[in-house]
Amino acid sequence: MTELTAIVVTLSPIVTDLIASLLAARAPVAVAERFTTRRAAEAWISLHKADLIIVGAAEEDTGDVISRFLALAPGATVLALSDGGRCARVRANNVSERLLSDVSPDQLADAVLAFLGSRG
Amino acid sequence: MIVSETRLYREGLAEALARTGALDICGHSDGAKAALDALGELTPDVVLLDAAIGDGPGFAAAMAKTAPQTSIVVMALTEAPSEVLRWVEAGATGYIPRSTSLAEVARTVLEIVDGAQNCAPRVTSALLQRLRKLSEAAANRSNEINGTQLTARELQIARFIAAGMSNKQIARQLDVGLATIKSHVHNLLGKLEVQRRGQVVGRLGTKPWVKDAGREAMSRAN
Repeated sequence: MTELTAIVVTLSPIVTDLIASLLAARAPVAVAERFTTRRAAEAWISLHKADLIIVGAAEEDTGDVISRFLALAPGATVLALSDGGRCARVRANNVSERLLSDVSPDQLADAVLAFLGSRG
Repeated sequence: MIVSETRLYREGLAEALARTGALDICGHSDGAKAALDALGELTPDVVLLDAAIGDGPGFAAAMAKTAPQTSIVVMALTEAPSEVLRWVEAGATGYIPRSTSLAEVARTVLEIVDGAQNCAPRVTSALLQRLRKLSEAAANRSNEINGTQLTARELQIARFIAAGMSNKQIARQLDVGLATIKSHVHNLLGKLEVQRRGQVVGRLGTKPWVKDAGREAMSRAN
């Protein structure tokens, strides 16, 4: 598998590192950029390619946030974490969304990698 | 031991920290009750406590009482002075700021256990201010007899009276007029609600310095 590019948006450094570390232990995923605002991430996406977008959002906003990122990066997979990291939604265009609650590191990594794999 | 209500953080952090080899993770727990139960069995040196846990400071206080030998390190804490004070006063040994990277967590934990907490300047300042207020409050309490606030001079005279010194001896000792001492003694007796100077000792009975007042005052007089 070629190295996949991820960006992280509005998540604390510890959580960002944690997810990056969990994914990197299982697949060649490298975090290229970290953003403290969604607007900065959207500007970056319009100029660069991202395979995976990991974003923290309020639970009620995750659907809209994911849709917005997928509109800007149609080939990406978006992982949205909410409820303090208890809930995760993984979505990509033309692939059914997965909703994970009380998610474990393995479940999260497996779900994300399955999506990335399905995108080729 | 890691305590977090969020499984992803709890298990993920355990996995990531174990990988560093700097810390042995003896267990993790998803809540306060389970963690308190596990403390006796696991006897960890350090508990890494997620700042987002429900009633965190209350839990830290219970943990500090249950296992006083265990260091409680609050993880991913927003470094606001009021937040830090709230946790520290509850019993936390230290904290890892929310801005800390995962790579720094193990080192930060070891530093805290070693007695070296790295604080933002505004947090250090808040801690110093708090210390000063506590010190002032303690000083005020030491001047308080049965809920009555004595002036420093009245307290000094009360000590001499407790040591059995006469007004004349006290006046000589303090190098002031006898009338001044009589006035202070009058005010002192009024504040302590006693009629005679012999009753002063009874009013001061619980103060730790009363026992030594005689020796101290007499040595000063000599």
